Amino acid sequence: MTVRRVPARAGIHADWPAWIDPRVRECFAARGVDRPYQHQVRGLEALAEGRDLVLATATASGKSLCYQAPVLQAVVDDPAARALFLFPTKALARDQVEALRALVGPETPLAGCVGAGTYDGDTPPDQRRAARARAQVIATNPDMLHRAVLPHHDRWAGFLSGLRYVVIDELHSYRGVFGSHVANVLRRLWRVCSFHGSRPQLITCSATIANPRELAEGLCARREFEIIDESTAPVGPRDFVILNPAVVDPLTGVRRDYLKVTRAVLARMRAAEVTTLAFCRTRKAVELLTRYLREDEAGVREGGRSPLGAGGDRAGAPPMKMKQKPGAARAVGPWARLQQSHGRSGFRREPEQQGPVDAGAVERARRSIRGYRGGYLPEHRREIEDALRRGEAKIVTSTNALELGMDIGGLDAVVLAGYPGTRAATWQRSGRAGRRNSAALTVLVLSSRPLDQFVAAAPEFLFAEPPEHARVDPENPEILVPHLRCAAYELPFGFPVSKRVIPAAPDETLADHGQPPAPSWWCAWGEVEESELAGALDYLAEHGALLREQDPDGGLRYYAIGSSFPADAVDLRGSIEENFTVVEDALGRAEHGRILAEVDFEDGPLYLHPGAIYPLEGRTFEVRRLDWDARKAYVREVRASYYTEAVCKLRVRMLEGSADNTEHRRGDPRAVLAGTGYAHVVRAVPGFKKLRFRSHENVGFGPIKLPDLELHTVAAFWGLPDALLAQLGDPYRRSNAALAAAHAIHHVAAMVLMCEPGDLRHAVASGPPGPEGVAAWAPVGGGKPTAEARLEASGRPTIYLYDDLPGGAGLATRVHALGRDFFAHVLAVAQGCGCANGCPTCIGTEVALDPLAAGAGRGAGILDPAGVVSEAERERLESSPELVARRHARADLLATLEALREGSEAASWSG
Amino acid sequence: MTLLGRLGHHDFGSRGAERARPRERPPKARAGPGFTVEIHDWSLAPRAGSRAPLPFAAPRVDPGRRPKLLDGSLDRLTLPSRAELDAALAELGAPASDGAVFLDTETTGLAGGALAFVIGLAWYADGRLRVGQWTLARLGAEAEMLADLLARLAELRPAPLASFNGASFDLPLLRLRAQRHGLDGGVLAGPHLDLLTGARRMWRGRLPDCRLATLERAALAVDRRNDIPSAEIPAVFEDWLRAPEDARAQRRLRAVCEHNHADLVSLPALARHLAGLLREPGDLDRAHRAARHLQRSGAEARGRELLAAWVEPAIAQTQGSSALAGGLRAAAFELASWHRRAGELERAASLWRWLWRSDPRDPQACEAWAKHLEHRRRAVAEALRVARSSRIPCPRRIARLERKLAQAGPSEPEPEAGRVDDPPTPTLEPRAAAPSRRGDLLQVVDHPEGGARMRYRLLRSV
Repeated sequence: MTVRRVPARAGIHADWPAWIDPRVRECFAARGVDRPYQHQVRGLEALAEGRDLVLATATASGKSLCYQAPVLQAVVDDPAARALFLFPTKALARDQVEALRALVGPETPLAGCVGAGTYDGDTPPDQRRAARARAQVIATNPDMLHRAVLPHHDRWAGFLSGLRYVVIDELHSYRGVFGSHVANVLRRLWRVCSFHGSRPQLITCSATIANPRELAEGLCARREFEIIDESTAPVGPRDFVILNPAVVDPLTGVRRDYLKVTRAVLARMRAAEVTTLAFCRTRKAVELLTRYLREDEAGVREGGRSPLGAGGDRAGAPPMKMKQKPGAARAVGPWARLQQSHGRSGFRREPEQQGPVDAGAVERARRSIRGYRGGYLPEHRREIEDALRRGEAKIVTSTNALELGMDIGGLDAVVLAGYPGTRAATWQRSGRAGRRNSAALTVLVLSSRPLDQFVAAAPEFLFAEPPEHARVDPENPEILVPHLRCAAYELPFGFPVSKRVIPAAPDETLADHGQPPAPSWWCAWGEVEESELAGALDYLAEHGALLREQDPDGGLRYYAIGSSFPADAVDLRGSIEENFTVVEDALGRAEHGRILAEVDFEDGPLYLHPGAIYPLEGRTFEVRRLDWDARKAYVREVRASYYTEAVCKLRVRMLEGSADNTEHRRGDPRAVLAGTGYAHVVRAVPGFKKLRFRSHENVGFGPIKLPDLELHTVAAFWGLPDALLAQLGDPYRRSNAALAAAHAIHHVAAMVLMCEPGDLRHAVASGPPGPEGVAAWAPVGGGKPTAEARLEASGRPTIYLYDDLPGGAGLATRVHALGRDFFAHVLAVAQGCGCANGCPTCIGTEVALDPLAAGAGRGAGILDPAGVVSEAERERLESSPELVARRHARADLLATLEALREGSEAASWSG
Repeated sequence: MTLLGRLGHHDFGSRGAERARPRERPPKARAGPGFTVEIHDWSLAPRAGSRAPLPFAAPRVDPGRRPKLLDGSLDRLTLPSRAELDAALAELGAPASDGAVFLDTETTGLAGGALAFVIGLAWYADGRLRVGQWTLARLGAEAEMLADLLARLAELRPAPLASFNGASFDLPLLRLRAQRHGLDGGVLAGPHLDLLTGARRMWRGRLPDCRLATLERAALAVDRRNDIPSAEIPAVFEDWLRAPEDARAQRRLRAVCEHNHADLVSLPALARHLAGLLREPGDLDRAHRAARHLQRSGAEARGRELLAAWVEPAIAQTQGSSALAGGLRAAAFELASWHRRAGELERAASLWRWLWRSDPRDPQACEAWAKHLEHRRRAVAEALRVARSSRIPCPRRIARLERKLAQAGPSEPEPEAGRVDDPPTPTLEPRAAAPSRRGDLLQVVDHPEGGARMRYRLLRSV
């Protein structure tokens, strides 16, 4: 357990800049802001100088003032001025529109001057028209901008020609694949704005990341950014506790389940009356945790049938010994309160209080403990947010859906169930506590995932290292090409023969006024050179993606043709399938036909197969029927004592791509045969397991008959070099080494590419991909490979890494391009693992640890691959063949990674 | 790494709309005229004939000559004279009718970014219908083409501009495109008449749909042959742009032009037919529809009198017996409400009375008649009786009437209009008997346009 404390800091105020109208100041004064903070004034002044702005200060440092004030000022100066607010989610947009409306409420001097509206999928058509025509401020999301605004920009002429500011909140969420899409959408927006005669200034807000300027520049294709990254707002003291669950089995290094520990931590929070937000990594974890916490609170289990048995529930006991720290009594804040409430054992009911369960308690628990995740209906989410603000909800378990800047009022503590994957996300989530300058607590409960254990071994990784880099790659061809088509559909690209702009009406008027043709929309795409763009467009035209035409004067124009919008075929978030709706099927009751939730298309077969138990904030619904084509699942509420988990099978086929040109290294036994290729992935869901709540024991199985999902994507591969194969003589060790290395490569690649580990997948096969492809084995949720797959992998084990996105996003290929540096990184991470014997963190969970095969069979059991073994150690090893196997696996992993590093080419390009 | 270098790694076959499309030769950059204008002249009298497009400058006056179109499908169509057409359009509610111009476009889709690649205009000149078609040859020449078209349109000074579904499709689309190219689309904002509005009111529910081809078949006895289905049109231009030399693509583009041409030629005839229906609807249902159309297009009095001419005599003849068809009752209800609005209460009252007497349990009739009795004639007792007779009695009305009756006491004055008749005992017979009498109710009539087609007409009197 590691505890860090960040002390409180006072704020520094400054005066409003002179150009801010007194009426605007009054609006803010009415909301309790008499004087802005110093950093806010700095930002406003940069805007007045005509520069763009990046606000990268901490949560609750008043970022919204920095865009609300200039937007209000612009509208006061010119009622035709317009502002576009971009938020990653609909909920945030709505939240901010409410905030802006409150700011110019009826009692303020600007009442009725500033219209603000949302424009998203939930906005009814008449409100859309009104917003388009009249609202000065429109809040929307990139998806809507991409699909509804840009393709119809003619209808938005009024709005776009008056566009003065574009506000991009939560800038850091636009990274990786999604960010690269958004970067292209913004380039399209700049073209369209330029067509309608505006060049909006940018105000962007980001959470703490390492490179806000780089991200803003890459995303927005602008250069004049002023970075505000030091907050002068006051902050309260903050405690950060890292909790690594105790090792239950010292032999295998298996740790206590992190969810159980989280539950126990939350139990103590509840007992200490600490309002807590718990972030889980998965939706299932949210549902389970919500249910368990409510049952704990109400003293019931399994749908109210049996009261809590005496000592029957070990999970309720505190798993950790919280030592009374010297000075803890003097400390303030939730952390201190927790320590002082040391003696109370959560809210476990005493044996003498057992008996009939208080019916009201269940209801109370339902109100005070809430779940929150994507998939809940908007109004359901609003209601939970509201309960948090009112203070009715004491504990909310959530996925990252609550991570962004929704105003949910003051929270005392945040519990992170599992390392969120990045430092940036960790700080962002942790920042949700203590928004009102009060003391705040963050508890990070680590799981046994490799990254988590890496954090446990080196907490400095969290505290000392800067937060991750957020990167976008707008020129990733997979992303760029469709957006170029969309852009050409909106406004054709054109290149005049001479430097004269092609005589079209709008440009003629521009030329008449003698304005310098600021990078004309005809041939502008972000910061790409004109000649380079022309080459790229020509290339696309030759491949039929664009239509090229020649004007009588010889100028070239590029059009996208087609009867439908190209934008409809591009989804910024990776899936273009319609999602499933969960419909309540209760004939004859009022609830019949009610829509309960939404499920992404990819998750549909996993959660909505007939017979599945669909949990929804502690309630359980059974899926009666799944209408695949209509994308509807009909469910009925049941009292289930189990939940279901679909068994998922992946069939991966690696297809030939391009191998590195290794002519000059042919014959070198150390050379790694690496390259990129394609992966054809078929995901089948053959059946599901029924797992009992709490004990998670398997109580049944059922078949699922649903269509398989197919995925065509890009992959990178690395074959183990000859020298290494000679060293790993027997096929058993080879497959183990390859599986362990694939595991490590995957997780470190996610770290390096700033994507979720789920964006990538790994697989192992024998040999490089051929024209017919090679079948590979890929793990699903920590499963173990079959003997067959193992045998398959043992010839010349080849490690594959592929993007888990339709069409791929160039992630695996980028890892491949990083070459040697990447493997140096992986090796460092593997070596940094504190275990001496090989733990799930470093060798993964897929290697075989069969003692017979591992040690005795080869007669190598006693030898420690790392060197000399002490007598005591030797005895310990002799007594445990599995430990020996682990040690061997770890040593082989390190050897493999080293060989891969040595045998790889240096980076072919940096990116 | 350069952008082009990275694009080299992009797999064009793996996703998106390109997948299914056969890989054609990359299109060559095209030069030449950006658009073409073709002018055709149509004689008003039907005569089979076919000629190549006439030069616009010097049209040969040769009545009876018509361009060959859609296998001669429209050869037998009689077009209205200009005077006839002006009168018809005035009757259809055009704000000004002196030199109408018909407009029809073929577009690359229904979506917002679609453009019109064939724009047709039709107007009267030298005693003929002249059809002009602007066809785009290069996407880059759209602005030029639109400018030329708008200039011609301004020259013609359309009064009104007439179209089929132009109000919600063609005109907004052209306006948006004009705005895109910075052109003045003011001429598109002038007086406009959309024939679809009237056509929908006259034919919705009577025909499977209200598409122009369907209306032509039903109303003008024109059966288009070898016409390209509308749904295929957006792809035609796209295909032709990709492969302008391809014979099939050229043929299909021709077919779209013919389709547009045929639309433009049949619109004047359709306008005349519609106006004729408003004058002489032919049966009660049509009369009802026509009256409604007149009501909604501002000619309230005319609409009311038209319907009255059909409903009131029918009622007089069915006095005492139950209504023969729902249509008459519905028309009577609507007519009564128009009468009431126009202040002709007695005419409305006689309709209500008939409605109630012919079906005394009909809640709508009871309500209307009871209201009238209560508030106009002050016949509380009668009103109460009527209100009570309803299949769904209104408890509030009955309570109020009972209260009034109690207040007035037994000495209620006789209503001025005399006693209201007892309703006849309702008969269940007519509905059941209707099928057997269908033969009497229908009559074969000749088609007014002279075609050999026959129609059935609901007899006015039984």
